[in-house]
Amino acid sequence: MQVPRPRLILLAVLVLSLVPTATAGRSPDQPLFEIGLSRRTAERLGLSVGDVIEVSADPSMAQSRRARVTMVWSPPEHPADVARGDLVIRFHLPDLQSLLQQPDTVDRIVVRLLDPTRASWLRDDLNALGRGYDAYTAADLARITSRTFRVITQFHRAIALITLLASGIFLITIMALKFTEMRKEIGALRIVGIAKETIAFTVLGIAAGAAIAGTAVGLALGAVLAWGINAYYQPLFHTHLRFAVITPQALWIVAALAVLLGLAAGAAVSVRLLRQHPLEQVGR
Amino acid sequence: MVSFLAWKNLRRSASRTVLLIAGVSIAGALLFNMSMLAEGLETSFEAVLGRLGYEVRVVLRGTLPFEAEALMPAAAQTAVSIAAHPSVAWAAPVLATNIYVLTPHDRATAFALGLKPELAGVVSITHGIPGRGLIINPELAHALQIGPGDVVRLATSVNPQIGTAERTSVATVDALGEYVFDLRSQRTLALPFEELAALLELRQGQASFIVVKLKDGAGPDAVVQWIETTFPALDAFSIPDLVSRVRGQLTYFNHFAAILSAVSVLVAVLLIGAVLTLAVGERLGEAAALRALGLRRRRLVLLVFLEGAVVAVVSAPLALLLGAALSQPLDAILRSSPGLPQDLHFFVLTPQAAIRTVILLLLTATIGGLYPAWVAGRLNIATTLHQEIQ
Amino acid sequence: MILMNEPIVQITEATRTYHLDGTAISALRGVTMEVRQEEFISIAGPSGSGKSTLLHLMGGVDLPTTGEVRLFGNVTHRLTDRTLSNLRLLRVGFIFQRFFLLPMLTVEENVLLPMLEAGLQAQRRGERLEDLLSYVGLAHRRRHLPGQLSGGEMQRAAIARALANRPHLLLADEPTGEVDQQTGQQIGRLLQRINGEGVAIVLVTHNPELAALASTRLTMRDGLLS
Repeated sequence: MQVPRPRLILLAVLVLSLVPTATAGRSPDQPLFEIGLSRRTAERLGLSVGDVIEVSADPSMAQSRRARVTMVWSPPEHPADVARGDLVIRFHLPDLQSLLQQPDTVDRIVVRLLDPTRASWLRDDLNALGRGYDAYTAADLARITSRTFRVITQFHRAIALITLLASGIFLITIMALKFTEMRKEIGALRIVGIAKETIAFTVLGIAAGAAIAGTAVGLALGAVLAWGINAYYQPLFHTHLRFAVITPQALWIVAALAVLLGLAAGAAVSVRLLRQHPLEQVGR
Repeated sequence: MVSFLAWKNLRRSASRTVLLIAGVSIAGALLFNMSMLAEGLETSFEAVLGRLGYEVRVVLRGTLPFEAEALMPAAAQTAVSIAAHPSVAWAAPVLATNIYVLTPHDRATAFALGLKPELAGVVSITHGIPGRGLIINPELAHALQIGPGDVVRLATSVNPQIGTAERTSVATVDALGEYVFDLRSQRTLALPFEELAALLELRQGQASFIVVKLKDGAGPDAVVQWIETTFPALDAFSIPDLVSRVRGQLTYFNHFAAILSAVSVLVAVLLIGAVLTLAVGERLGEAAALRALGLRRRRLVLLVFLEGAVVAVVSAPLALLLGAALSQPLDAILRSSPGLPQDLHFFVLTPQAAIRTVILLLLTATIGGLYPAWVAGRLNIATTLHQEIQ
Repeated sequence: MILMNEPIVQITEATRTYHLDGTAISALRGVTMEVRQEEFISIAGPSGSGKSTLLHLMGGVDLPTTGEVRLFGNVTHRLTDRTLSNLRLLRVGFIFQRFFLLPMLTVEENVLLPMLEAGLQAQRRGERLEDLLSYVGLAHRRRHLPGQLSGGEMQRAAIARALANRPHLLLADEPTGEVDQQTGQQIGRLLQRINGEGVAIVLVTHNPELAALASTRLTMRDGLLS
């Protein structure tokens, strides 16, 4: 069962208008709220600890309250929020309820269990009550919030597959061309009595060498590209999250694939070359 | 003669040419996909907005254009004032909220729209006849196993302490319909504006937002400016405004498309360049002989470029076909992201994307042919003939 | 327009120096000679004596380092690539030791190539192709690829290609270098016949029997004619 679309505190806060205290009508009798600003919010609004501002849930600044900035903090960054650039303000719960004129109303309740292993049991129990809310375990929420990223990962994998196919063909074509270019030398070697096996191993060795060298250059290029992507996007989105990361797993997959493709190309070419008559290869 | 020779040269090493065409086709397909992705979401979003049947959306100042949390006071009266503008055909307030739909055996939440008759276009009726009752979407019908003629109870909230529905009213399902802007697996219903206002106990004409239809030929910018000047508490967004706001959030896809397009072009350039360079190297003797027989230098250079162009021309339709085929599963993957309107597509096949791909492929072939053409062009006939005989 | 008694090739004090890894190599060291219409000249000499270089200067595929080469009255180093190529296409025929037939084209396609480049009309191309293939005795091999021919047949196909645009001058660089003696004799007879029909021939060869067919026999040594 699904609860009505939650009015996240974050979104509620987003609709708040903020004006300097000097420009708006205020209620001096009421005590100041204490609020915390995310670093991005503080930077965007040019505020720092100790500043007093006016906050309201209404764009016309009706029912506004004065609030003092008591904290500027860096919330943990989440990839889902990177592109949103949300401005986050932290209130004490009763202050926000009072500002929204919704006493005893919350968007969600978080529960800490004595025994965290029983989270699913409690979730099922609460949902079975059917009281108009949904209960989720922390694992459920992690899974739900990471759905977009799973989709993006799946998309990246599909694109990687296409890119691999194109690069595979590229590698095979280049290898085939390189060895076709060497056919005269190979023909000459066979005429002077070098065994087919020796030639095949030599071709494979050269293919592997070229593939390894190409892989090394490719990985270096990839590292430069990853560095460039991070250098571009991190300041763009004001985040320290990394957008391109070369993992050991990716490194091994790329290296293994490149070498395997190189060897496959070498094998295919050597079979073709050894089938040809040596005299034909030297052009006689 | 040059085109004849180019064709014969490519046929001469059939397996090499097939590999080359396959490589360029795949790179071209990726290029086509990225071309579709670069503007697909925006095009699709624009198309979906266009199908909504209005040109301007008016919301409470400071709220986001697609959020419907805050209620606009006296929206009905404001809509009447906006409708009086000479460029406006009609203006209608809309209520949007989440409510509970209850049957005797089950309960589900749904996104409810309170619509004026002018906004009938946002839903395409598939079964039943719309009247004063509910128009539900297939997801809601499926969740509660209900259809036209069934009677349900609507509630604005459920008491979390005792689990009972509060502020309920009874409604009949009139029809089943598909909503233009439904999110994937979202349960949606629409009912007359007044019915939903009554259920929410709104008696002062409040609404979530106002939508404005312009008269034929009227531009939205002037109306948007007029609304924002006349009603300082309101923000107005034309469809181009909304699209441009979304554009800012598409940076990832645009940059992703740009990077992969550049990689695809680079792969194709390298592939064509490498193959043509080696092919020219293999045929230097023949090229020198052709020059000795009277083939002009420019014609020899043209021959090399033509070989690249033939590869691009043969690869282009394959790339477009392959790209179109690949875009389906790729689109399906991205569309499975949560919280997206179901009619929204990431990969949209447009003639512009196809033309851009073909032009880029031809450009790729030209760039790829530059070095081998230079090698062929600077060939010294006598020296080459001499070397070939040694 | 070349008058009957005017030379079609006129070489005056031509030198040709190549640079190889910083070392200057003089292939020709001041050669003066003429080729007149219907003349048959053979040039013999040891390898590296400059025979092929001289032939390349005559055909305009190479230019002298100093001196002058006039081809059909035109000073070659003053001509644009377009004019020089047109001269070669329409007035000069080349035969090479290694034939240089295009391996992906059939015999008839190889022979048609210069005619296509010259823009000859289809009907005239067809007639001339028939004549040429019969002339060199390859009508029955017209659809074969060069790889399917013997060395002699390949050289005859190359001769037909060289004659495609009815040149006034045929330049042959070791045309029997890749064929056996008997085939070499056949090619010699064919060249004699071509010369008999009014085409001037300059033949570079090691083969004394072939050289003996020429009306003028020259020898080259160390880049000089003797």
